[in-house]
Amino acid sequence: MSIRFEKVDYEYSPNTPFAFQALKEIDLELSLGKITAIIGATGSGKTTMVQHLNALLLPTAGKVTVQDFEIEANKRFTQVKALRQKVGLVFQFAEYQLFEETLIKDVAFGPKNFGVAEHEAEEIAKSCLRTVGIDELDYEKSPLELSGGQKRRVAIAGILAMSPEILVLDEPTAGLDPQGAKQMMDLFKKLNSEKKITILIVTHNMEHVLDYCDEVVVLDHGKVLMQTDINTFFENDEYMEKANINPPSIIRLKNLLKKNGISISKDVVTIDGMVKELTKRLKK
Amino acid sequence: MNAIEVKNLNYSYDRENWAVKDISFVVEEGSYTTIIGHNGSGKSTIAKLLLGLLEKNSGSILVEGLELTTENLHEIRNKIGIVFQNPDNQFIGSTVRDDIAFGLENHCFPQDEMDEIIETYAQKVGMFDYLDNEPTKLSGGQKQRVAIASVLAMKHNILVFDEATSMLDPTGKKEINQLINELHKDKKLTVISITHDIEEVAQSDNVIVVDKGRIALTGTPLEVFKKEEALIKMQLDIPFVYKFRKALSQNGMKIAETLSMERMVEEICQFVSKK
Repeated sequence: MSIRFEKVDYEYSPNTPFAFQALKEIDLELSLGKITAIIGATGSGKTTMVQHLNALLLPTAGKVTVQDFEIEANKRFTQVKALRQKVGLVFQFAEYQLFEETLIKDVAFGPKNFGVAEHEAEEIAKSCLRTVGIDELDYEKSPLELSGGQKRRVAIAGILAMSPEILVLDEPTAGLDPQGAKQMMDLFKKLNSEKKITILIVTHNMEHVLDYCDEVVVLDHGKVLMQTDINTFFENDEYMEKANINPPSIIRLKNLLKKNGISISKDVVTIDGMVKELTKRLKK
Repeated sequence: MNAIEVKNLNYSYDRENWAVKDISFVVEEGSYTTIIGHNGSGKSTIAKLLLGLLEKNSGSILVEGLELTTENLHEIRNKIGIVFQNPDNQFIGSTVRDDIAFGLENHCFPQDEMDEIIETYAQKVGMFDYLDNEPTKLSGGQKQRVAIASVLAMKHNILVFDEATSMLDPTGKKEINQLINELHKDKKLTVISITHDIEEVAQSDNVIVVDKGRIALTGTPLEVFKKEEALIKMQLDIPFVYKFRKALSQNGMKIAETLSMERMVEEICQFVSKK
């Protein structure tokens, strides 16, 4: 079971003067159960690609397979509802999509829509709000009364309420303060390890990629530039150069030390690990 | 002279909770000040009060010695300009040129002078080649550069950046941070930047930390980062170099205080044998 893209093209506004091909022959296989980062410059096709996973966009050529679901170009896709229960998609600036009068109603909306009884939907909503760390006293509040970071958590709870097996997050930490961003990433890690949810994160934050993800997919001008595990990616300068990214601070420090004649073991990528190695080599 | 002097400033959106509570600070002319604080701490409210976009409940704001009142708002806004967070929310013109011209037209500049000013500032922010482009088709970083040019064209002495880079990708962020640094280099422009980017904070002269509408800490970046525990309690971060240096010192490697990675590596080299 996996997620597969086979020769997938996507063109916005085809056959018009505004036609723009955002994805070009994407071939990709992602195994389930991991946290995968999707990175690449603005306009490289990250958002377009992930919106295929719950059939929000349909390929203009090629085929997307998500577990048993097959979404093919030029073919009617009839299982949208079932697919969207499996794949939860959280948009960029998700806080803008809250609309209900209270938090609990907002989160319960999804399950209710999928046919869960009202009372049960509210129980689900409560448990999801708890998971994302919203205080019980706030459940009956209007979303408008919350801060940006809290609103985003509620939006994520709304997606979790549909108990997706695959969670796709489009820049979930953009604009959050550093601690808020860290708590958010910790939450995804927890969902992955405890509930075995497959997680795909579109992000520009390389510190998060290094600290939380298992695998990385780099997009460039609508194509897959590379797909590799995190360690290989951050061990190879030429990979990072090719992907045109700012390496995380710890990798930059490692490289700078190396330039100055101090090499640190390949697999050491934490502050503690590096400090330990350095202190072992103190001049007597 | 002080560019800005804020005394006992108070502001409440709902007349119940203070968004800004008894805040006082001074920004020296030609300095680069960053204001940090977690989401909802009151940072942006301060920026809006400085520009007179919100009207204070009490206290005073002096801009270049002149007290901000509803009567002299116009005069104050000739001294101080602002660049907002969302690059898409601040365009008026249908081309980059028109957009930079907007503020100048409002101030009745003669056409020939205007062209010269527009071109000078477009050049300064590296957007000269895009003058006839449509703003909507630019990247986020380019849009923010145009917004900065529009504000610079008004020749304000003080510029406020309200999370001007938080919606940009890393390339855009870097571009804008470099531009801010460059603009500030000759110390003629006073920069006040509201930011979450801890690496930007490290490059500023002074930091103001805001928490729950009050000023929690002020000082140089090094002074402020020393209060590590307080910062973390306020949900803020400290720069990587500072964290690393601390971990080294806890393990018996005491190196000089710095926020520069290059400088830290030089220090480490003196302690560690190469291999």
